[in-house]
Amino acid sequence: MNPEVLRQRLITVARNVPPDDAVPPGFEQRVMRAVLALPSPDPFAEWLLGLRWAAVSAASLAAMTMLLHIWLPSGRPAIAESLPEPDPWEAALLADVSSLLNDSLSEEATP
Amino acid sequence: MDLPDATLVQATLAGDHSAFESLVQRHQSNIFALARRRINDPSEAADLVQDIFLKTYQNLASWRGEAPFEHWLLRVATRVCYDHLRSARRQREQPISQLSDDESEWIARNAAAHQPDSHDSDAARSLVAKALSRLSPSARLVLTLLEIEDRTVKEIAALTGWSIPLVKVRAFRARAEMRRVLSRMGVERYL
Repeated sequence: MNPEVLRQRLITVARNVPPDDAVPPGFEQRVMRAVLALPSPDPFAEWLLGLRWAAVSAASLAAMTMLLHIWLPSGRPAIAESLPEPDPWEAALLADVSSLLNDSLSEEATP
Repeated sequence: MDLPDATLVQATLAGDHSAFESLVQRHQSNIFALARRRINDPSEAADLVQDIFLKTYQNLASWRGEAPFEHWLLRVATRVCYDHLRSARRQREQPISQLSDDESEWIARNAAAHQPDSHDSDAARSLVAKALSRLSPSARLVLTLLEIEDRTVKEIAALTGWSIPLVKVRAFRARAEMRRVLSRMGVERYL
């Protein structure tokens, strides 16, 4: 006989067994004693639970921000490259005084 | 007078404990039958039924009255049973026990017969209980619901919270797992 056939016969046996729904006497009183023994909801505990969820959300947001911070600089050069070349006259006008001084000093130093 | 479930639920939520006791009285035999299908030991099943009613009491406010209370209670019971099977499996690993003489005889007789043998069904029942207790929790649950209790895949999906494809996959795996368990128990010698 095929093992699957045996399996199906066993399942048929299990299906034909009427489920045992006998309830022990006084079971509902046992349940009610357990219900009354349940700790009453503690508002402080609920507040702590809410706080814990808020902390988890904040931590995940912080992690996401850090990941974005790491990932974003790779996009920056593309932005810089897309900017137009500075106008030479404008560059000369806005040149740093110290760089001009450095240039003149280096010219004096050369014989 | 028998008050409807919805009225008893409202009364319980308003703080009337006797209303919840009436709900327990009304549904306890169904829940016991459900638990005994899944747990072999009667005292363990009684503890499980108590857990089911405690969970029901704690989550009573989440029943919105869209489905009958009994369906919602069955869903709670199925999930509590599944969690129980999972934790029980973690706590104790089932040893592979050999077949008893009666069980071996039943298999040998059935292997030769074309029709299932209805004699000595105690041996068959103990063999089924042994095989089911060695299945993984999901396999045991899905086989009990699908093949023993004859529920549809859609019903099982609603009771367990699994998707319909997941129920089908788990049922397929459960059948294969049960064949493996039977083979480990040594049934192949008699086939």
